[in-house]
Amino acid sequence: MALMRCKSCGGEYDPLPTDGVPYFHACPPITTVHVERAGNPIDVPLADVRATDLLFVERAGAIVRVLPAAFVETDRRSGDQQIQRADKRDENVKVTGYDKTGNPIVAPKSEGKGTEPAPPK
Amino acid sequence: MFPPPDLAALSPAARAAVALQSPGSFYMTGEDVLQISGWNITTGVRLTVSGRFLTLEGRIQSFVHDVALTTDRVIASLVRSLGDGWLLNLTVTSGATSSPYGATFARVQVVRGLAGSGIVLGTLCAGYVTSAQPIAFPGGRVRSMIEGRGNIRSITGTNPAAGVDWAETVPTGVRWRLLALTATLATDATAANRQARFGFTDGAANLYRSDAPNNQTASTSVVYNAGHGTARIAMVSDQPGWGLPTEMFLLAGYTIFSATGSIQAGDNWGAPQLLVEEFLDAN
Repeated sequence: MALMRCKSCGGEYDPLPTDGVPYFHACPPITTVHVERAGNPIDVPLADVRATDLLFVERAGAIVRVLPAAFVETDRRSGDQQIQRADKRDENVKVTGYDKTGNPIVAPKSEGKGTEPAPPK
Repeated sequence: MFPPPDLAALSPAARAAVALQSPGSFYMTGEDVLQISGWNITTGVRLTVSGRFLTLEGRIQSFVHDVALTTDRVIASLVRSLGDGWLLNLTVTSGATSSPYGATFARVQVVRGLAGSGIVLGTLCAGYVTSAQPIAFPGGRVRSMIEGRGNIRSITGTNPAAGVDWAETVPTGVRWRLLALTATLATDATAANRQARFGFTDGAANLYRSDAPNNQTASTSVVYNAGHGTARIAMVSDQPGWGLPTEMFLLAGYTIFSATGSIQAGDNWGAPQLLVEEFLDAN
């Protein structure tokens, strides 16, 4: 089956693989980076780190602040966290009620921003 | 051949005596019904329940009932009345659709009352079924979903966007025993040592984490692996191993994830490939 793309996280997956068992996508968390921006320490998503932000890095056993351009290979970024995205999509089902035959009525745990066909590679 | 007994002519006490001697010893009043329930993961599977029923008039009737199952691991049930008499035997399979052992679980009960709110009077049989491996009454067992061996599955996860770690959540209605996994990280040209870790969480707390045995540098592609019962394996060329203890059972909603230290916006994990033993796990 054609791959789908999750509009919440950008991940791509096959909702019905060849073994006939549907795949239930759930978005992974995002990585936030601890930076100093305009003099204030804040946590920002990795994709939103600016060239003017100061990163907190572990260098030679101490935590120092460096611009992204000054980050060197042996630095270790400090303060990263993984957090759930606010618009997380989770296709795993939850029971929302029961029909007149007693069978459960289900819905995805959270729709997020929905899905679309993945662009062809 | 003896003619069938004229059961209708018997007194209630005599009928009860006959019932106690019937092969299945399961006398059903007209108020008692069969409740056939199934849990399933494979597309297109239906439960087929067939058997024989001895009426009060002494006739042996055959019956076949078909239950459409969903693939979302929640219960699907069907209630059918057999009338007044004795259930002699029944057998349950997953019909003509091929599904592996461990993918479809069936349970047959005798219930009095409406579907979903009836009183369960007896459980006749329960267990995993395939098209070739039935469960049956009498003589069958009432098995648990998490008894014995599960369904061995190879699962391709979500291929995350660049700069995003991967995470795979155990689906609703099952539990997994993680046997192996592999995932590839391709790094961008940014100079940084990435530390590719992996672990499990129950959604609130981390339960296990493993460091990578090596840092990963810019513009490289490394295939990370984990195998049931293996310790970390240092990278020789491009395939290091994370540590993975044995018997790591993960319940529905638990998540297996990567957490990459110093991950860069252009770093790109591929879709993880998991080998799991899956058990249906209804509450």
